[in-house]
Amino acid sequence: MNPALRIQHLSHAYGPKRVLEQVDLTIARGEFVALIGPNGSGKTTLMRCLAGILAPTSGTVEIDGERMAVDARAAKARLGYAIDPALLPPPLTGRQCLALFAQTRGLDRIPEETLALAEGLAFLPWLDQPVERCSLGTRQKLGILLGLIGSPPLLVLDEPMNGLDPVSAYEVKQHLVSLVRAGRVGVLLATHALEVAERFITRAVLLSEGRISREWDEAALNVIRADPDHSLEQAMVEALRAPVQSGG
Amino acid sequence: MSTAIRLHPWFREVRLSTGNAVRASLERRGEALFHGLAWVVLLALLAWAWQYLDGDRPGLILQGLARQPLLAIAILAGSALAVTRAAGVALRRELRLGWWGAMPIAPGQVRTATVLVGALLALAQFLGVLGVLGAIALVAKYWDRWFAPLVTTAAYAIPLGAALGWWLAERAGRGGEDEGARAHLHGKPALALPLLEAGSLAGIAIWQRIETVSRWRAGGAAWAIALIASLVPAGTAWTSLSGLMLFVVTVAWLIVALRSSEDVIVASAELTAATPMGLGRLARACGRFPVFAALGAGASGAFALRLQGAPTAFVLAYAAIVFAAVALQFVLVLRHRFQPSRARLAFAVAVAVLAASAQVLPPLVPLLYLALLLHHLRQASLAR
Repeated sequence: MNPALRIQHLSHAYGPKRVLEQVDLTIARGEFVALIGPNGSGKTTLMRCLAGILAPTSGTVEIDGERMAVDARAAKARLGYAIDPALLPPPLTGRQCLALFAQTRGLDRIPEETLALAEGLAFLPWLDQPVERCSLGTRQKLGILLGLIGSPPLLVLDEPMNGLDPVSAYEVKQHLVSLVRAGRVGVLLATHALEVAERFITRAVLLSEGRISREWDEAALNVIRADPDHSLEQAMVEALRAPVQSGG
Repeated sequence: MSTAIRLHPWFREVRLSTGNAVRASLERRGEALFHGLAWVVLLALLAWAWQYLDGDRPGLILQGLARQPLLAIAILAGSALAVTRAAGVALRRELRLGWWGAMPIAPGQVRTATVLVGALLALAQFLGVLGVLGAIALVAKYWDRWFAPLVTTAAYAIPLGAALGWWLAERAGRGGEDEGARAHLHGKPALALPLLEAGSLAGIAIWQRIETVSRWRAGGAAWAIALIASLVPAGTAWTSLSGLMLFVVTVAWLIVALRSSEDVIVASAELTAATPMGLGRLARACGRFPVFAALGAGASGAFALRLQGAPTAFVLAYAAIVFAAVALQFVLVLRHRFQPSRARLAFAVAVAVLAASAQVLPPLVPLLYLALLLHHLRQASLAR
């Protein structure tokens, strides 16, 4: 079976400013990967490159065996990308947004699974309200629901817990974990909420200055989880400080 | 498999958004009724004032334009090019970087969307030109000297400019331009201006300037200017030609500068809304760049008019109009800083009222202008 995501030698630059340098990353179905790193490390650019929103300067992105540069439509059909709340169209209702995305993915109606998750997120009362009347957290829920429509094998979420109330954040995590455990999807989650992420992810990848500088697999994460005096947050800070200390 | 052409879902989004907006405005019945009545009264007033216009005055300019078809083509095609290119680039950016960016949509659907929007824009521009020419023809005796030639010219110049604008937008899209690269490559002004970029809240003036430079460089202005240069009839005196070119560039730059300035004022007002900063301080910080724009456009346009042999009174009138327009626009943006569309509407209404007054009672215009300016200034200081 093809991996849900395979990125090889991916680089990206904004004009002369290089943001990503030779990034390699593979995610299998059943993997829940956290992409962590300081502000400006290139996390969002990496996510936008793998979603086909930005064209990488070099390197390849393959989603479930489909190369983005060869057949972007086929690759994007296998990708679920949570929408940034700021990009949602203000006059449309949540139901209209979901129906538009469902139709674009070839579905004749909003899937029951999406509506069930909407109920779990307490989004149903907002379903027929225009986006412009929704709070940031409610828009965040809609962005997540849009990304999950059609059960694609790769889910990509950029800081999805921002603005979510604790119950909704718990629902989203549980839903993603159940999809991962069923082996249906691979998840890439960019987040700064390390204390939350470390409990349910299967791998963590540290992006620093546009390069993957460190990875923690499940065994390494289990060691961190077993030690009450240690955390992924602490491990990341140590990894980020290490080059500075050795250089200075 | 269906072979029918599938439209980009963006069209459906636009249809749904429009339907929702119309339904929402109809739900506010009182407001909708008031707006409807206000428009009816305004249009009736304009129609009443229109009949007193002497259409043969603008008709003289139109007649001159009809005698120089290449210049008419240059103006119509140039503006169609600029409008279509800007809209094409904006639409491509929205479809690629917006919420549709990661969705499985065929490249052909994106291209069809941009072609359709370009064609609709070209049609709208043609109908707009036809409407303006028709309105002037209604109040002109000698309309037959320019109406048909100019409509014919518009019928092929606008599609020509629109097609070129669409192609340029397509080319810009293929170059892989994105927000980050655009800001990095196009946003750096060529010269430092210490007077503009110093003092309290200097960042706002710098922001206004960078936004203007960025939009000017992304707007394909050079193409429009080159097009005008290549199509102006041979034998035109070089001073007159340089004057025309400089005037076109000046007016185009002033429009870009004022629009950029307006957007930055709105954004700055939102950013500082929760701070204890008073309106006066915000106005002083936001006003430096419009003053600079008025000084630049006033001087450059006046020089351009002198090159074309315009009399001193005409040049002074031009400079006064530039300063008056910039001041009115600034005050309106300041007043409606949280609802910029109202500022634009109010500006258009004020210009229409002043233009109508200029036809009926010219000496009244400066007084009316001052009254409008002071009224909006007072309202701006009240609207905290």
